[in-house]
Amino acid sequence: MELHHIAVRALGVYLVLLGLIRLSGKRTLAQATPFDFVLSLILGDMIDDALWAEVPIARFVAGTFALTVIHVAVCWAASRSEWLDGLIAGGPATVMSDGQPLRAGLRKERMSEQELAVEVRHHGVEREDWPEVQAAHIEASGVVSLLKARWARPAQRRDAAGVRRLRGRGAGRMP
Amino acid sequence: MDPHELSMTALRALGVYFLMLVVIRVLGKRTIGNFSAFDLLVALMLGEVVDEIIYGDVSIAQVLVAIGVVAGAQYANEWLGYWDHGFDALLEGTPTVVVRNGVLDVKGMRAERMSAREVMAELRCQGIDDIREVKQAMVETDGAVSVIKEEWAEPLRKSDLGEVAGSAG
Repeated sequence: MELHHIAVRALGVYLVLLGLIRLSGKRTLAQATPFDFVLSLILGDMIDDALWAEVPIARFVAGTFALTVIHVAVCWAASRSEWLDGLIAGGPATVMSDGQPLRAGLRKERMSEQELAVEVRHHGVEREDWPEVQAAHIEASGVVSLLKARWARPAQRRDAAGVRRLRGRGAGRMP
Repeated sequence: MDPHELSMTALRALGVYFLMLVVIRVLGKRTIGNFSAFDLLVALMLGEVVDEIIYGDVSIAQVLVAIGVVAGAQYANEWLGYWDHGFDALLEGTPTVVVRNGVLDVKGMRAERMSAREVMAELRCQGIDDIREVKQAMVETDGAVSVIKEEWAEPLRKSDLGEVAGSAG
């Protein structure tokens, strides 16, 4: 294949993908759900076939466009139906509650207590401080989120306002 | 498989490694940080293009042209975005507000096709379980959700301590 054909194809593929990524939305980029991740892998794999003319550009456009449109449609439906969202993205799994690992959640995600300890350590909480954890969830994106108990959270400015209020100064509106 | 072919594959893999080092250095840190739609796209394309050299399916010249065009298009694109914010908005999109003053913004969520569950999951990832603490949450152009807390929910700062001590003491 001649070099200038490759140049034109590379530019074409670049522009097609650019349009598709704008169409599929920002959240696909953040790979918020396992679905997004799979979609980017598939798109990535389709690129080189088009680039080296193993498939015509028209087929590349048809294939990638179809994938993107169905993905957008599925995400749109999931954003409007809690049931569908649970089916596609999966809800969060609670793996720790009030400092105690939750067997059911861990089993569902096939996560060992060791792995949980690692994830909790990533949030700066060692095992002896587990009572500080109000809840840990494995989110649909695969990220483990951690919520600390109220007493273990960093002080907020409203807490200082509480002190001020004790002294009878104006504290503004705060819950 | 003959040893000559294997050693050639290994050699080409080495060559690709150094070629990619150069390309990434020229494009800058952004591409690796996946800052925007395009950065992800370029990382994907470059990754797909170079495997063909390693296996020797296409010639080095062909791959160089492909990489050059992709990198050049990316460079031009970034430059356009830097030079004119209108282009930036067109090519990269604009941020979308999904929580405003402690309340879910349904319009923004629809635009990003985000469910309430997904928004709450993002907040939990930042250690927040009470949406009232959130003054503004936005889906940024890279797809990540940024959160700005209400003033009263911000962490205490050193400068607050003097006041607390003064009023408590």
